Amino acid sequence: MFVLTVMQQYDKLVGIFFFMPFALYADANLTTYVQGLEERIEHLEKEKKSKGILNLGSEDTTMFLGGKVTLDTIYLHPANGQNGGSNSNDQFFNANDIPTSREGEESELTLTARNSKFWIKTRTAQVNEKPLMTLLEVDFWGSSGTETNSNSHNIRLRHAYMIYNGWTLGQTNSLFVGSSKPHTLLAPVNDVFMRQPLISYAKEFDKSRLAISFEEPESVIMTQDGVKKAVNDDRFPDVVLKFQHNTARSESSLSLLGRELRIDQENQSSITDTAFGYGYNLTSHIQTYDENGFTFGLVGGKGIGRYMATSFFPSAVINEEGKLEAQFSWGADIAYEHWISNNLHLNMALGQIETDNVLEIDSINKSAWSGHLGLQYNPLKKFLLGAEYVHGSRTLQSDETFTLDRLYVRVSYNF
Amino acid sequence: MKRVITSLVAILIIAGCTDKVMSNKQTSVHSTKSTELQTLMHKFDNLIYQHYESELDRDHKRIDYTKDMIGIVDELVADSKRLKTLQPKNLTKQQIQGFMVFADILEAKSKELKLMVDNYQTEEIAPVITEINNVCINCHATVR
Repeated sequence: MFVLTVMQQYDKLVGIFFFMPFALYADANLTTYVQGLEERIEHLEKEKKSKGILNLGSEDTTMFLGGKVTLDTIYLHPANGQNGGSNSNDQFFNANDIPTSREGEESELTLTARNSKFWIKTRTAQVNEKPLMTLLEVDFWGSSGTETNSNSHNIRLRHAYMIYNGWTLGQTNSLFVGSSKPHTLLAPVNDVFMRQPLISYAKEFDKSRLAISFEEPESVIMTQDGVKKAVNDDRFPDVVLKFQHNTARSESSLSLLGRELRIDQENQSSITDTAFGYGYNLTSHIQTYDENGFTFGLVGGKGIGRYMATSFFPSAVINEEGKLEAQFSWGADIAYEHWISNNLHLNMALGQIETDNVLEIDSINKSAWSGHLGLQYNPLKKFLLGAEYVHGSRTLQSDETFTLDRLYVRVSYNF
Repeated sequence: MKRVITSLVAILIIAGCTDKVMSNKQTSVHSTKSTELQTLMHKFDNLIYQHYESELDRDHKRIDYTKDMIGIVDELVADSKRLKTLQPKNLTKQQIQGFMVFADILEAKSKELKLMVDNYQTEEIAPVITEINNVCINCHATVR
């Protein structure tokens, strides 16, 4: 034991003698070294204050980046057929994408990553108030690249807006869009979708929210020969009032729309006229048990046009007397979501749209419906693997009906 | 680490407790609230798949769901703390102490969530929800 202790002490002594010169050398440089460290700490403190490499406009602003990477694989029967092009109409789904001719387009396969998204969000703290928030979001549904070489699709602006003290300013979803939608991968044909510049103000209550917005106007008019045109003659913003109410088992919203539709000597025509448009959109999601539940939607009105089904119907038409007349159209959907396990759920949805055509032209749209059946699986957190079968049908004024079938397989990861 | 140790202490205190430690009525309320909480947590996680909405829309829903979760957690905490004053005969002091430790952790987490809701710190909420879930799992694993 004693020998062992001596040997241990001996080791230490050898170590001291061996390393002494180095230690002295280090000691000589210690002051310089510490000074260097202090300078580095000071520099790091400064860096911390300027929030790293991102020099934001305000010290109180925090920036977040996020988005998702998505791959959609779609089997089409029939396809829309755009030779060598982007095939956007094969990748999106809405009633306009149901082809009225299937010659040479019986079945095709297309893949796309255009549903990938990227967003930047900022939050700036305010004294005794809610923070000021902004969002800039883009996807890749801008001008299309071709499939022949590089699929170089361009970036497209989705959202660019700020929220402060109840105000929303910028481009985002219209208040006419319902707060509950089917959880299918693709929306049914009656989808109420609109993204546009707007100014809105919202008042929050305990479980409710009341908001009003003034949104960018745009009239989609059908001429007497059945051609739809977006005319830029609007003078007043579209006005939307939205009421949302949530309970422990439901989320519902009612939106009311009022708008002026106007044409002013468009394309050398002598017609200058206005019409009043109005509409409602009622949506609700009701939980049955656990997270399973139904989603309902009912939309209708005169002159709602572009707010439903991606302008499948016009907002107004130039009637036989040469006057602008708002056209009535409506849509409805019902959907059910059933959770099979904690990370696997089944979705089904049915949607229908119809209009009362003012013009008697055989080739114009009269109605459409779609049915969706899909499974979504989350093998990892934020990772989605989904498959959905879609059947769509489109009927013209002549009562001719055209159908399509599609199978979507989606893989996406949210980062 | 501190939280893990605290949870372990709580587990040890009420370890071996296999009796029905709550009355049937309390158990039923507790069970309903726990299911509601689990559903809200799941809904919170799945908001990212609602691809029609913008990130700020989803944040708004995150805040709404979190407020609901805070309400439920507070009810669960109040329910558990009632045991301290009631001192039910079928519970030992140790068992009640164990519940109180879990209840205290939940209460602290609820306060954290409230602060995040007030400051709109939506990105910070998910980890706290995971911690709450872990407290629930630990407590249920020990008691049930």
